Amino acid sequence: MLEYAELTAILPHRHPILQIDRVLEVEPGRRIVAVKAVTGTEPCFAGLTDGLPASAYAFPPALIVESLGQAGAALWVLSARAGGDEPRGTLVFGAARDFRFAGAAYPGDVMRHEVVVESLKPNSAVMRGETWVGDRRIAVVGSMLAVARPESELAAGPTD
Amino acid sequence: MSRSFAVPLDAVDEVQVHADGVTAVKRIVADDPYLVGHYPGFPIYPGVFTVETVHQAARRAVEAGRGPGVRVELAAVRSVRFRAPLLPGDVLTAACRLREDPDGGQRVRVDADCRRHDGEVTAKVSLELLVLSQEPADA
Amino acid sequence: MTQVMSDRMNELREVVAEVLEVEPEEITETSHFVDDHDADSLRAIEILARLEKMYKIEIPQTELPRMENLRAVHDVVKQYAGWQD
Repeated sequence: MLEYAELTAILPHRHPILQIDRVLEVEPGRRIVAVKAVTGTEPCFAGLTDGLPASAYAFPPALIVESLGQAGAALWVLSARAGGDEPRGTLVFGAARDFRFAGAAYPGDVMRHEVVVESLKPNSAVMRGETWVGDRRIAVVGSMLAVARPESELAAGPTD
Repeated sequence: MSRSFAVPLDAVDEVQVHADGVTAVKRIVADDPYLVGHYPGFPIYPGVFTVETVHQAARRAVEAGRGPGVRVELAAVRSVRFRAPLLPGDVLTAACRLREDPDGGQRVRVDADCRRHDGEVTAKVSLELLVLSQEPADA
Repeated sequence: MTQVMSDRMNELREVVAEVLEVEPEEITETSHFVDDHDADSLRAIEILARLEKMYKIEIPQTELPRMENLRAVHDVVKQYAGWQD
């Protein structure tokens, strides 16, 4: 199990966009289970008018994608380290395909991400995953692709 | 600021609705919400925020086109590819083409070409929106 | 071309077409993924990952630049899967 403090040594993301709180299980090179607690004090819930329906408080899908993606990034780094290596450069979200939403998370819910490795290379990782709230599966992604880019390239612009 | 649903940030500055879609403009600034942590001292507009720009623009276009009484949800990110970063000072233009599902129009497919002010393609985004009547019974 | 080879070529064509989001018929053995089908380095990585899973093989990332059309993909997979024909 990895706590929030340890995650800051794995991911470059920081408050408030560090979107996973704890890693429950990890099998390097294979899978990870990580959780993110959704709370009403998240910046995304600021400024909503009164009297809105419950659906207005659904945690934004873009942040579900970010959170699940970060679980995948943590899996990649932990896998590389287990093999005595480290991805070279900054991890970048490269692409995703077939990300389907089948439910929502609301303040008070805990999202549980399960990510499985499809392919791991020195400069890229392909993974698939699911997000659960209790026994409800709220999102599924067919493939997520992360790449390691040199920082100089990121600042300069085009990454192709 | 008063919003009708939760969003990570106001991801569009201007929208222009046209016959087959909508074009959105978003100026990237370092004090956009969440950017302080993405990354400290080195702000980059997160890829998922480009998805959010397309989502918010398409949602406005559909809601404007269908009138009150509809609620639009993101059903799927069918495909997204990030090709170049967006940094503070950059201007993102997302040209979104909207196509209604032939059976019933309950689903809307959105294909967006996202470019930086220098013309560089930053992302290709393909979404699927679900159009619901306001607040269904299961909410 | 043998029957086995042409079946495999069609199987590979399906995988590539799905990733590049084009119709399989549009991909010839020599049409260029980047120039003719709007591919990029990300799409190439996706293709490689799918081939590894499908054929249960391991292809090093150093082969990516070589995989620029369907025939080259076939040759790479043939090499790592140990196909004889």
